[in-house]
Amino acid sequence: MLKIHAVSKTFFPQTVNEVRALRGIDLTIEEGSFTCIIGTNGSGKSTLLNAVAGTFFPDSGTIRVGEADITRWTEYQRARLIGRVFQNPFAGTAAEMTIAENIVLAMKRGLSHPLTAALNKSTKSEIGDRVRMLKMGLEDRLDNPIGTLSGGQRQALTLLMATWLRPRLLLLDEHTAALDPKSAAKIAELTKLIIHQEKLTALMVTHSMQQAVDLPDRIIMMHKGQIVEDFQKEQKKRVRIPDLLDTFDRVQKRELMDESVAEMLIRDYV
Amino acid sequence: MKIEAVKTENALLIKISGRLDASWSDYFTDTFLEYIRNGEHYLVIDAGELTFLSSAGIRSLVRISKELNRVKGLLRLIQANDFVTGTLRMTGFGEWLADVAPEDLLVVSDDTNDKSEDTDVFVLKKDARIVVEVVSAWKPWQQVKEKEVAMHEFQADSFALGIGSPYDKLAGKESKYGDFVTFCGHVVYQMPEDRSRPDYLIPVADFVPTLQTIQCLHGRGEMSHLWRFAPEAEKERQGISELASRALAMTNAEQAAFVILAETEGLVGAYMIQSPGAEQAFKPNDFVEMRQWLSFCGEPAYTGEQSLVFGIVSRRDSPDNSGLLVPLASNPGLAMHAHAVIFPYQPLQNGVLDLKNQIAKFFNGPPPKGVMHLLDDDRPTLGLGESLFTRGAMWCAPVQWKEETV
Ligand SMILES: Nc1ncnc2c1ncn2[C@@H]1O[C@H](COP(=O)(O)OP(=O)(O)O)[C@@H](O)[C@H]1O
Ligand SMILES: [Mg+2]
Repeated sequence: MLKIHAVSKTFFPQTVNEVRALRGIDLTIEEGSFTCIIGTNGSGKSTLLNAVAGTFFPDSGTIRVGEADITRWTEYQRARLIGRVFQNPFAGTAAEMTIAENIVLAMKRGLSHPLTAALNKSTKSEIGDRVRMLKMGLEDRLDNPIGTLSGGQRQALTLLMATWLRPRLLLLDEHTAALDPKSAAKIAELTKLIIHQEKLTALMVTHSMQQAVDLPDRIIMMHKGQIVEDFQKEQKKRVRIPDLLDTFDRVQKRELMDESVAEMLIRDYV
Repeated sequence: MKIEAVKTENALLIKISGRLDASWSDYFTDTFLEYIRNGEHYLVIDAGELTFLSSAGIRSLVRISKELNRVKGLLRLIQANDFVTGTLRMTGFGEWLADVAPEDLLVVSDDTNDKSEDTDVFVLKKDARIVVEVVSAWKPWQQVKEKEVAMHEFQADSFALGIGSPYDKLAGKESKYGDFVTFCGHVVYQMPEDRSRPDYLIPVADFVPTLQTIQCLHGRGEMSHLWRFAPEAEKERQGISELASRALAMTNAEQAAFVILAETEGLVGAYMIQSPGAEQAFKPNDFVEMRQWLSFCGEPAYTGEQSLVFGIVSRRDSPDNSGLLVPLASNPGLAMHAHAVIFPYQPLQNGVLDLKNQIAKFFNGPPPKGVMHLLDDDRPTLGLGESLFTRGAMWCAPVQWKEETV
């Protein structure tokens, strides 16, 4: 479904601040699969999602969704295919607009005249039905400004809006990280539910090992702009938190293999 | 609760006072397990001032007694009051009670405690030797050719180390050659993939563990000597090169095979995480690519665990027709090759240990944690040095090279 081939991205190239954020990423995501990306801070997880969403163009490599090569599509062009939820619950919604109005905006995304659509009765009842599945009682507050809601409630709505039009690909970037633990668990659960119900293809960055173990079908670990581990299928099923911690350890340990170690090993490891 | 230990001639006398209940039982257990770890296997508790014993306390005593049973040790309580005596009798642990006055366990002062060096050396079988066969046709990191692969069956008297695979495929990625080590026919093999635990093959009934090897030192025979070592005032730990050199001295040989079973201070080594096969693995000194092939420990590993090591050591001026022995930085007179398997810690019995029994015990216990090719890391300033051990046993025997080796 999503095919990322040899994608690289360097920020501030040839300056002292040069960051090789993505180093030749190869990744194929199957239709209807749910993948979590974990990795240390700065390992390139967000950059990878941004590359897919079209926030910038990669320096090299290609990105395909289905048959389409979207490498040179703008972020706006890709928005028809891709739903996104970010860490900040206040991103992606308009605080002074009501819940219903925000949702109407999301429903019209990708249309040429987004704001002309009216909020008629039948739309409103459809909205009510779908908001009810969040089980947060928000269906009774559709006319309240979204700014009056808690972070968890807003993130639940953002998730609903991002998936309203059944995007071909759902990108979630640490979307529970800014929430209190209880809300985070609730949103994680909702995420899994919606992805399964709507049979979405999803790529989710998480800082939570527990989520990585509980939610997806596949776990990818990034380190310094590369994919260093990939737990899929049966392998994924048996992964537990200590396995992920071990893997982090191993990945860091690989870093210790420098030229001096290599020389010693060439000489002594016969 | 207070715990005070005094070393006596035959036992450790531990005076405990206060209550042994849930709030103290963990501390109590840990303190006693530490005594056992330090080689004290006869523990006599002076319970004269023990006022109360709860079921949590009894659970601690059971745990300690179990550990002692494994090393053929002994637990006794003396001077227990009526309450403690009654509790132990009622719960079926009356056998722990003894009727000895603490004065009768002669107190020994610390300075007479030093043992002379040779009291812990045992001659097991005077002319035992290990006959070693070598497979070394494959040259590291090159493509594996079919004629370089040799099948080895490991019998009950086999000790071996090398790179091998329990799978049939000889070449290609499916071959899965990884580091292995064999003790008395028991094989531990590290799948060449750094996320998997080692696999092991145990000889049961008619099953003979077999590997396809591309590198192998396979010795058969019996060990001639045993040395039991423990921390001493001047020497708290033993480096593997010291142990190896000791093996040569004890066997009075030019080349010796040795098995170390010991508590680990730290292991230094590496293991293969990708199998050599159809292609040249990597170009020498391409360390970035090398990371995909070898996992280096990075820091001394497995502290406090029990290591089981098989190695062959040779004096450097003596001929070794293996090509697999590497000069030791910490001991320039020696060349060695050693592989270790790491098991969770279990205390060892004192005195003469039977190698076969120990191997069976460890292989039938909790699974091994890793396999490593031990290295002597002599890099200037950054070097981790060699593998170190605190207490344990080393069996060894002279090596004789088998005539028609590959
Ligand atoms: N827009 C940008 N401009 C410059 N540097 C960036 C930009 N985005 C990310 N980086 C850098 O790229 C590296 C990877 O960042 P990021 O993908 O956000 O990591 P992660 O999400 O895994 O924590 C970091 O060093 C970060 O500072
Ligand atoms: Mg990020």
